[in-house]
Amino acid sequence: MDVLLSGQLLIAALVTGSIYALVAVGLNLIYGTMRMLNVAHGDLAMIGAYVAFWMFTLFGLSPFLSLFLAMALSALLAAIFYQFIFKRVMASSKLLDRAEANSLLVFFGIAVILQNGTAALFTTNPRGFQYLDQVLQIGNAAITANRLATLILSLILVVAVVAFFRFTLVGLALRALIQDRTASQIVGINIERIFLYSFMLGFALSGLAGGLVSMYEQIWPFMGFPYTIAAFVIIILGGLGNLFGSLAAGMILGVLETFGIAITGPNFRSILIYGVLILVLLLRPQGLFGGKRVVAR
Amino acid sequence: MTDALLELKQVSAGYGEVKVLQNVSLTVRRGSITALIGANGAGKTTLMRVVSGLIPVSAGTLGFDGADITREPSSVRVERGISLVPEGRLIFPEFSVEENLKIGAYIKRVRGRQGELSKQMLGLFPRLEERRSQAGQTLSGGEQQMLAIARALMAEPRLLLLDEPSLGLAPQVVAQVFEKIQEVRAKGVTVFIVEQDVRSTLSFADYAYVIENGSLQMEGSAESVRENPKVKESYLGL
Repeated sequence: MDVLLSGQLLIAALVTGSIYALVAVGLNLIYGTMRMLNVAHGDLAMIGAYVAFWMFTLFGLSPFLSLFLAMALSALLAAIFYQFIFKRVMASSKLLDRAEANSLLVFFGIAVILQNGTAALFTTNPRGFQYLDQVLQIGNAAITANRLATLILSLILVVAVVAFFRFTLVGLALRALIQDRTASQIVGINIERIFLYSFMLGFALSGLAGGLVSMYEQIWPFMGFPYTIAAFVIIILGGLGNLFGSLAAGMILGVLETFGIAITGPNFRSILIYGVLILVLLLRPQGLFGGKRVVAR
Repeated sequence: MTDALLELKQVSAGYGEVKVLQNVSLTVRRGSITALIGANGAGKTTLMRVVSGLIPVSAGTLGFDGADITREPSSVRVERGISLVPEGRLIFPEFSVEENLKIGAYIKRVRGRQGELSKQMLGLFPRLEERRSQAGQTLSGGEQQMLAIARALMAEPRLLLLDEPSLGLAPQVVAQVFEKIQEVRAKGVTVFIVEQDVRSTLSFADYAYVIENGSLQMEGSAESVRENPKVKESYLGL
């Protein structure tokens, strides 16, 4: 019981939650604007983690710098996938009607390729590196410096993402596109460009989260899948297409998972997460926040 | 420099295999209010969507102010000065009135003057001023229609396309909407309107086309169309 109240868990929960928020908001962005289910979303975090790992191991580059590289590489992958694959998935009105299902299959293929490609290149051995791993004492809670840095950085990023959606014109256009595609075309939004932006931004946030995670967790080619699942639970919890909802729901799931595991045990992680999913679907399928709408058209 | 702002030549279009419009040729003259009337399913909404770039043509050409815009996407057409007030209004339900107006000035040509234009619109539609921070979905049908028109005007169009602006509105509100349309024309905006309320529309339009089963059947000054026996029988119930 002492552990539960120590503050130690709360910090751990916030670290997990803020990472979840970053991963999930990107997933929700891509779903919201394009109605595409990115089941490879967590694998971009894996790519970002490997970028940070290799940059540190080979060149001693600080993960805080290689984060930018992880973001850039993820965004580049997004642009390539969009231009060469997903544009075709939406090429005609007939295909567009099936884009949701087709994109699921394509993303599944991408996930398999990313995971196994990484495994083939770098083996499936778990890897890690030591960076900022001294333990800091905050009150009666102990935290490694890299986790604290992750927490601070990802909270700043969450705020930055909120500000971007709230106050920039592109942010406004992204939110418009989530609500109504035709109306967005009517006001002159170049929707293909906004699709590309949401792909790039979504992927970049996931890659970035992976880079942060690599500082304090072991990485391996199949580490992405749990993040994909968590992100799906979060966007349902926060409401499909509700960007601010998924940031909040990410923190909530981080807390539920961390405290839940502390009470039950690590083996219960999946049960907890799927339990949350089932409960939400039963009680509030439209998500915790906002109105009656389950999914925008 | 010709008199025509919008020119359709032999335009055919539809959804997939289904052809809705066949060889439609028409002209909307600068500064006019031009009406398109026809029964449900005649192709009026399709034509509006073709002009605004939401549906591609399968044959024919579209000209706007002398330029060929047939292959241009909707975003470029809005930039050129074509704005649509769509059937069903399609305002952004979760955006406030203010945000709906703001996104209306998304295109580069007017982007810098968002604030100024918003103010103008709230002056033109005082009702929206009262509702400025309310979400679009909480507005009444008439208010939503006003918002849809205001949103289109935010882009400072030269051609305003109106698709059934009176649909689902109470008669007094319809009168207000029609009044606003005439105010807009008085400011020099050309108006191309599709309307089920044929009688009122022909009373303030300059020119009219009648469409049936995807092709134009008749055209002329609004007055002459109104006096046409066939129109009287089919659309005016006389």
